[in-house]
Amino acid sequence: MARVTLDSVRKTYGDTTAMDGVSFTVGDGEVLGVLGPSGCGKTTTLRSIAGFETPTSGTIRFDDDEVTHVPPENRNVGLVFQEYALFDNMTVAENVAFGPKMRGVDKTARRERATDLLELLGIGGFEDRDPTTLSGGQQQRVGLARALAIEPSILLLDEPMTGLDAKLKTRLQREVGDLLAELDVTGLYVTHDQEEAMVMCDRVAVVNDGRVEQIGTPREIYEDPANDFVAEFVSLDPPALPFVEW
Amino acid sequence: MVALSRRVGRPAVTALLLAAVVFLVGPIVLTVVASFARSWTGVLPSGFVTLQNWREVLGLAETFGAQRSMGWDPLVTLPVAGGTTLMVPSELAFSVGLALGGVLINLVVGVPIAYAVSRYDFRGKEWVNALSILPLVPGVILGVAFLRAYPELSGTSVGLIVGYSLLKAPFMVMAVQSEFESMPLRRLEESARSLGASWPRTFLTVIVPNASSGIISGAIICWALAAAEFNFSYIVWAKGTQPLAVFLQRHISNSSFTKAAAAVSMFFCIIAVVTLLLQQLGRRGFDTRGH
Repeated sequence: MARVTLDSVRKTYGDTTAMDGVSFTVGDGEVLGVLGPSGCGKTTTLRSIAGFETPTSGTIRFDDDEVTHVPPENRNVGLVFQEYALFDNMTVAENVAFGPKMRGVDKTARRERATDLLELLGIGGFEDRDPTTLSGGQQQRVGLARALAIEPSILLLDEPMTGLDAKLKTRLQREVGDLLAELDVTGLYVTHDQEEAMVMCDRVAVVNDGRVEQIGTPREIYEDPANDFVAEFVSLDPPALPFVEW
Repeated sequence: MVALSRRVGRPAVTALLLAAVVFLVGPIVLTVVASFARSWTGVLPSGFVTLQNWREVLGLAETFGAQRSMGWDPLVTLPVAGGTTLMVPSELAFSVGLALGGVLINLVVGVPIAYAVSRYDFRGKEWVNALSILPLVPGVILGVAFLRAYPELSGTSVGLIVGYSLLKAPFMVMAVQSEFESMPLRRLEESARSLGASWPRTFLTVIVPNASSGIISGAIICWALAAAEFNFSYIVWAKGTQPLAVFLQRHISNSSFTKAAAAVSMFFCIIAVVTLLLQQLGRRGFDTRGH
């Protein structure tokens, strides 16, 4: 795991600015929530850290190494998506072992690692199943195991709970939250759900319009919002409706 | 209401379905049956059972002259133990291969096009998309244009193969594109890349195998349509081994009903066999589950 630092990262597409000077540091072993409405630039932030977007200006560092221009396959970043994006042409174990395989880990060792991770995530015994036969929650666990199998510098989670039903979501939030803390994972948790961010993350960055409005612990943000936008967005009751004038 | 729909509706739908199936399958069954008959003058064929029609169509009859008149050149003979000779319909294999050649080109060209169009936003995307569907023109028109543009390809196998691939490319692109669009293409690619796979490796070991069902069905559609493409084959083909469609047309227009029936039945068989082979090959080829 590593410390990840963004320093005044800007990303523009033609006339639109997706990231407008974003700076923050995710400490080693910390899970930082990136919270904001859709289109606020949180996904661009995640994709820049993963290496799928090159910032227009600014730098990204993993510990002390600058990775701004390193291609995604050489960054050692774990990705978990809302859509799971499991490889349906492989078994569950092969999905998890894909990353180690790309890194030249031999067959028995990577199979062992896959079995251990699946066990850890509560889906031991599913190794030889076809991922399409699993439930949504199970598939998401496989996705998580697959991302963790490469022992990533940082784990990026892009709305990983959004497709799941409320009951499962609550359970998975608690389980995954505990697991990330236990494994001491450096994580970036992108979500539009303020409650989820509060539960899962050590600190939260509230993002709007390509800028970080406030960054702090969930308590700080909830009790001492920096401005009207943050106050409105994190207020749990009534639900955040940033476009409504009260 | 529920009882009524169950009592009347379901049997009615079943009956309609059965009637449609019988109506559509009937002629095929009759054709296959007739291919084993001596004559077919009335509604039903008569004079069972003879293999003569099949032997002549397959080029196994003793009279080579008769075969030639049917458009069959002498076959390759393989010596087998005991002095018997096994006749191999090399020409038939060649005709099947002509259509397969078209499919092969479409796999190499069509899959990347479908990928590019469904994955990326680029200038001229709509044009590429339209262009890949444009060859849905009648084979006659493409055939004539083809001969004008590339006179040196006229009558050659290469000409036929390239023409088939051009004519049938849209079916490949559409089948594969809809498959790509039904899966989280970008997420899959990004997952594989982040796990350490280079782009080419991602494309070959993740993207293509995940789209296998679309690619297989595209290949089957392409092949079946190319094999049955008469207009283009008729205009471009000049001499040598006949494309399947031309062979079929000759049998239908120059021979007795029963012999035509055997030729058509053989065509059905070839379609069925090649479809099964493509399916099996596809499954094997894409199955990366290592054991």
